[in-house]
Amino acid sequence: MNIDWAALGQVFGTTLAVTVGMVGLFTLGIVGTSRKAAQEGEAGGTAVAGSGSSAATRAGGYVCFALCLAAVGYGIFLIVAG
Amino acid sequence: MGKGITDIQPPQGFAAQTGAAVTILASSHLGFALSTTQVCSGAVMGSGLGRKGGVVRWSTAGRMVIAWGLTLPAAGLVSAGAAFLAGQGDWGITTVAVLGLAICGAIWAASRRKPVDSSNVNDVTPVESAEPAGVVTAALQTVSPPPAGTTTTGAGTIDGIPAQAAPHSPTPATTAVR
Repeated sequence: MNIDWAALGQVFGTTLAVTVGMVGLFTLGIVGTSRKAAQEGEAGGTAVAGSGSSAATRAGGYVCFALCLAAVGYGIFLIVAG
Repeated sequence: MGKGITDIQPPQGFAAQTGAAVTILASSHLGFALSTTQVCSGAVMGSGLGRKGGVVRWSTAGRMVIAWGLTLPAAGLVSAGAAFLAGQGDWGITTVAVLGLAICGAIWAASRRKPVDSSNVNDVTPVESAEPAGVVTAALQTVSPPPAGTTTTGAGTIDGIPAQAAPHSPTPATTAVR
């Protein structure tokens, strides 16, 4: 029985990178578009959210969500076209 | 899966489902078959462990693995028998159909003795004896801080492991020297 380790490695690597990336992007999106980030931002010292409702952070949040949607769309394209 | 193996909240559910979806998509794109159930279970277990203070009930996970190990050969044997019977002719096919209906009916009737419906589907079964924390969980617990935000005492502890000592309390050895 021969096992295709290269393909298994590819699946593992892709999954790790894309899952961590997507969950991270979604989290950034939520942080960027939230309004309560002011208190938690100062307490936690996060570099991302100053006051959550400033236009720049909100725009950044929307960009992150759009990237998540793009990844989902790519996945659906792979299924449909494959 | 979200209550029996580990306790997860919506963020863990999101991470688990994303991981499962990407694994399944990547794997089928490369051309290999896999079991969606096993991928989802693994994802839920992983996200349960990944949450700060998360605990996986390995006994439940172990029972699931045993069930997977048994159901594959069991399903194989049952369908081999059914295929053999159905191959005998029209009477064989009818027999298989009747037997299938009868067995399904019997299992359904047995399940109605203790019905699970919308009133009790989310109940967590009470544990008869507190499950002793496993080696991995104990090791993780001693080096990681308890989950933030708990206001009730003992909420962040696991039975069988002493509560986390305060991070800056001086050790007896250093204060006893005179």
